[in-house]
Amino acid sequence: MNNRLSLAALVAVGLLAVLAVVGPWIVPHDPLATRVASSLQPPSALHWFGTDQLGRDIFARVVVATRIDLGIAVSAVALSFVVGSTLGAACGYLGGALDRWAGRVVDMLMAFPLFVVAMALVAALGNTVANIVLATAIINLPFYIRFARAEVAVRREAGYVQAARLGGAGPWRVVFGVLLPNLAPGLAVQMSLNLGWAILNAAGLSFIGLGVRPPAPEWGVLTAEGAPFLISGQWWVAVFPGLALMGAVFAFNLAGDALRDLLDPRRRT
Amino acid sequence: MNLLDVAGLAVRFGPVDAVADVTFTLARGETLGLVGASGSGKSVTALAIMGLVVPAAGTVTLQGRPAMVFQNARRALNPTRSVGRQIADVLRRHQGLDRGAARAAAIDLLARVGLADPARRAAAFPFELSGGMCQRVMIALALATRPALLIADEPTTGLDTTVQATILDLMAALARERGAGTILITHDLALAAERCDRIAVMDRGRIVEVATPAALFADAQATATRALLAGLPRAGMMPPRAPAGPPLMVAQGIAKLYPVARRWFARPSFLHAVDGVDLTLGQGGATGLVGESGCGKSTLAAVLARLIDPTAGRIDFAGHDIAAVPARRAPRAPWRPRLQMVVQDAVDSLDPRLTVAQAVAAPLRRLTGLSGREVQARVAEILDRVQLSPELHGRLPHQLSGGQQARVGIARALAPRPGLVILDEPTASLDAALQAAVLGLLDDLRRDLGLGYLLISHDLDVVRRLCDRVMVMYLGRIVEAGPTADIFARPRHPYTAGLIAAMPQIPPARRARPHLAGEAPSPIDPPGHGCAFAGRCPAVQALCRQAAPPLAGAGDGRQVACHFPI
Amino acid sequence: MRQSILAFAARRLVATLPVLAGAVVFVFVVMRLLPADPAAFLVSGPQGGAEQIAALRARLGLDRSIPEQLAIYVRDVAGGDLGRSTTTGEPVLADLMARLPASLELTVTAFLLALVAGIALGTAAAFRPGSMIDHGCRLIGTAGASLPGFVVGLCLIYVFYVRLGWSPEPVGRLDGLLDPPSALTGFLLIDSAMAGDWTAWRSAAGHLVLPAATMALFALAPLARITRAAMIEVLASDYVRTARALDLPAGLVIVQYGLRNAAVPIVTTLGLIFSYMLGANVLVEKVFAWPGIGSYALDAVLSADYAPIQGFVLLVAASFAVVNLGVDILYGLLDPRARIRP
Repeated sequence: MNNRLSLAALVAVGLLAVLAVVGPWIVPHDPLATRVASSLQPPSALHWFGTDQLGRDIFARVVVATRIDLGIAVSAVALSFVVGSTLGAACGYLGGALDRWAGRVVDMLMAFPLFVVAMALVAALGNTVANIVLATAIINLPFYIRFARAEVAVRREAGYVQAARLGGAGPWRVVFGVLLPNLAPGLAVQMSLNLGWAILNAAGLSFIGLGVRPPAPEWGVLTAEGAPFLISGQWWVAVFPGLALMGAVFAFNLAGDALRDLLDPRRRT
Repeated sequence: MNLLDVAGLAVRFGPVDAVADVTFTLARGETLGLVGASGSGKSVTALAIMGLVVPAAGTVTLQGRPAMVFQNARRALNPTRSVGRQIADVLRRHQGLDRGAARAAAIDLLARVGLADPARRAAAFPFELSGGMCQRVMIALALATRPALLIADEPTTGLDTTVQATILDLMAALARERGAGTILITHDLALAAERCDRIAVMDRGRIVEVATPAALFADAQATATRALLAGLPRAGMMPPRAPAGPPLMVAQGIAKLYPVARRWFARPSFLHAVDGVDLTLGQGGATGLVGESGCGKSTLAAVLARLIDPTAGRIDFAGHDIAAVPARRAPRAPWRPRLQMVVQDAVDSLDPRLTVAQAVAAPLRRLTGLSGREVQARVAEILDRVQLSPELHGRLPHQLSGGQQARVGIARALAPRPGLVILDEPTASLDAALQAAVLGLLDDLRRDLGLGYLLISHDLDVVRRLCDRVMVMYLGRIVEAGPTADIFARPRHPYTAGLIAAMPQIPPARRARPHLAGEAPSPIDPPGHGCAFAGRCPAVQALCRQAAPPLAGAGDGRQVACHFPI
Repeated sequence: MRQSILAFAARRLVATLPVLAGAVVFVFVVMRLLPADPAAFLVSGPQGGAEQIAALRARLGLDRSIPEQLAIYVRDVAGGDLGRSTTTGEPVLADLMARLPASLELTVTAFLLALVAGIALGTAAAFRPGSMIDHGCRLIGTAGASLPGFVVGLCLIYVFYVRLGWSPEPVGRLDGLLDPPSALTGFLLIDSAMAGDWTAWRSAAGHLVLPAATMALFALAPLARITRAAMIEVLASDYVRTARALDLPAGLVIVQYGLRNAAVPIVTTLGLIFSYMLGANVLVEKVFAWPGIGSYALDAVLSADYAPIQGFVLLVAASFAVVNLGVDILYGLLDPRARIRP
């Protein structure tokens, strides 16, 4: 993967992070302000992305949505990463009953297409942002558990793990001090890819009405609101949020690949 | 008319000259050795002869077809196709046979290359066969093309010494049968000297010397040749018999069994990795443990180092019963600093994220109560002793050569100042010259620091150079033990004799050596009665199949487990 | 010890059963997490008195203990009784069976599209490294994974229906004015072909193109990427080198020595793709108003009709388990190493 592309991806991710933080303050219009008189205006100098059916500025809504989407994704991924990697590494290294039971839970979870699980969870638990985060975290767990477990299984008989034990490292120190740091590059890549996927997931749930509720701006909700107007030619209501969504996910995926190249210890000098 | 004429051959990979101006000939029925250190261009030359790479210059003229036998045979076979079908593929292509005839001919070929039960083996997949068997399959594949020239690329890599000899004999016999020429590629000059009519030495892509083995050993001209010669074992180079100090480790009745899953209703099976071993290691002494791959020596080493738990047995070390502590708790035991191990395979034995200094410091920090500054001092001192210059201390493993990585592993094990060091194949992946250097270093360290060694190796030569006592292991049991010089001069167990006979001789002799046939049986559910070696023993008698011989004293510090020792 | 294919398949089949059992339990547990009382919700309105709620609760079995409820649920499911939908009034099983062919036709078409395109693209990229096809494959591999199904669907609708007018109105499976052919399989393409009704066939195909393409695009990405990576690795392997050294015919090398070994990771990816598709169904069915089980479940979720949701999740889990079983068996057929019993 060439360096310019990697750099561009990392810059894009940084930009998204900045927007998530300062978005609400830098937008030219209030994302929630409705003005029916100027509804469904095409993109112009005043409204860069046009307005929606209630006269709200779409640009502002798209930018502010960054905070919600990224917030959900980051929380969900962080949660599943911490729980999943630790559990997976412990299973891979310690084995035994822990491994067997965790394996069964993971198998059961992966017996369902994960989007459907998220749907069912949010439907059951209720339509709040916290529940979306929880549902997304749960369906992400298996990946981390399996990844950490497999990577640890490969490494646990490695010479340097044996050497660490000869050098006085007990089981937990081996897991945290030797194995997880060696797993870190792979895990970082997984996280970045998962962030993209978590955003897609949250947007998908919102699109079908199970996620963030209007009038809160979120890319999936915005796209859903704009879908009916597509047929009548007012494409900007749905397309801009959709593009923002795609762009963000694409940036995270590319950044994940860039990270993988960066963190390979073989490139350190 | 020569069989093969190579003139001015040159092969370029990008800006690099892998092979430059290579010229040699081969007559029908002749065996030529192509010898050199890794990277000298031997394999690339072979690939050019095979037509698998396009030369930048020069010509290759061959009367007939070439066939190549690659190293690491298992990886060179299609993993999802049975070996019989792979051979049949070649037969149908080169001999125009139809499916049924090809299948039968494939089974014949497998028998010709010495596979027992060829009909059953033909349906097997490569992962189900041992390394030696896969190598035979490769030879069968080569034969099926009816070649005029057989090229063998490091055919003995990864094989036990006994199997190596049989494979090379097989290739020589088959080549003779067909009147084909052979090119033997190897980095082992001794091996080439034994098997080849002439040897061409390569260095950095060029041929630097061509001569008969006798001429080469008598009077080598090129520097590269002399370097190769220097790396060879020299007869008579054995350490003086140092008086062994008081016992440092006493192990009794060590057994390690692994359960093997079977069908639901059958009795559980066990893999007897270690099947009842007693040993005593004295302070300051060096004991070698030899055996073929799969005999259990690495498992025994891991048990003695307390990385894994024995199924049974007692180990006394420096006044502690260390077998009583589970392996899980061993890292924090008080005796941990005094019992260390240099782990196998230098490449994977270093944490890729730690620099040399960090890797050596880590055990010091956890095992000793030294202050930060003291740790640094000790690290510098031990790295100096293993001759790793200061500019290497900040490097990461992937920036080090194989020899340097091996030294770091040694330094790391020696840093806590142990009394006993277990070395598991410390020179396995190293070239002959590097091997000599590392062994020399280990010997010096032992004398300077008063260490005791337990050296695990399948290579008898390594053991002979470093150890004053030797134990021979077969299928999880010790079959012979005693002082190194005595055992090598007068082995008393047939297996030991077979292992020693399989070693190449220096200076090389072209006489045929007797050696062991077949391969070691599986350690799963070994025969409950009778000597484990009975199946391969050239001197087997009726009693041998009925009762297992115990390991008994045979005078003069020697022990043998044989009913009819030599 | 390598098992025969039959023994291997039987073992995998047996291993699937606990997974299915777990799925049933899981669905039950999740649905019982409802903080809301379904009975109260359903009875809400001026007539909602305490006795009505209690009666409804008794009818729905909500007044029994949890293990009892689970046992009743398991018994019902085993007997094919998945409850009754409060929105359609029909038994859930009947509803699902009626709508299943629509979803299946869509998913299978998309799957085949992705399969053919992905493998072709990945193989071509592997044979021509550094070419436009190679770069294109890598781009699709990364970009394709970023495409949200619903956005792609909407974009396709906008381009091909609103602007170009090539596609029919994206509502349902067939032009509203046409009569559907007699339902033999439920698959419109097959039924209309068998009835010789080519107008219907063209309409059905036209309606199928955009939604199938939407789903296929996302699945295409990982498939092309894995195929490319697997083929590159196989082409550089020791055994392909041996095959070339032995001068074996090119066709044999590509198929039996190349593709056969690359097939293993590809087949694994196919299982993952199918899993994604079963979930993406819901989104695509909503965008294109496709009368399948996905939109059925969605309507149920939005009207808090719980029996259809349970039925849908169970059905999806069961189909996924069946597909996984198929993938495992295919895996065992392709790679004998998978059949080793340790």
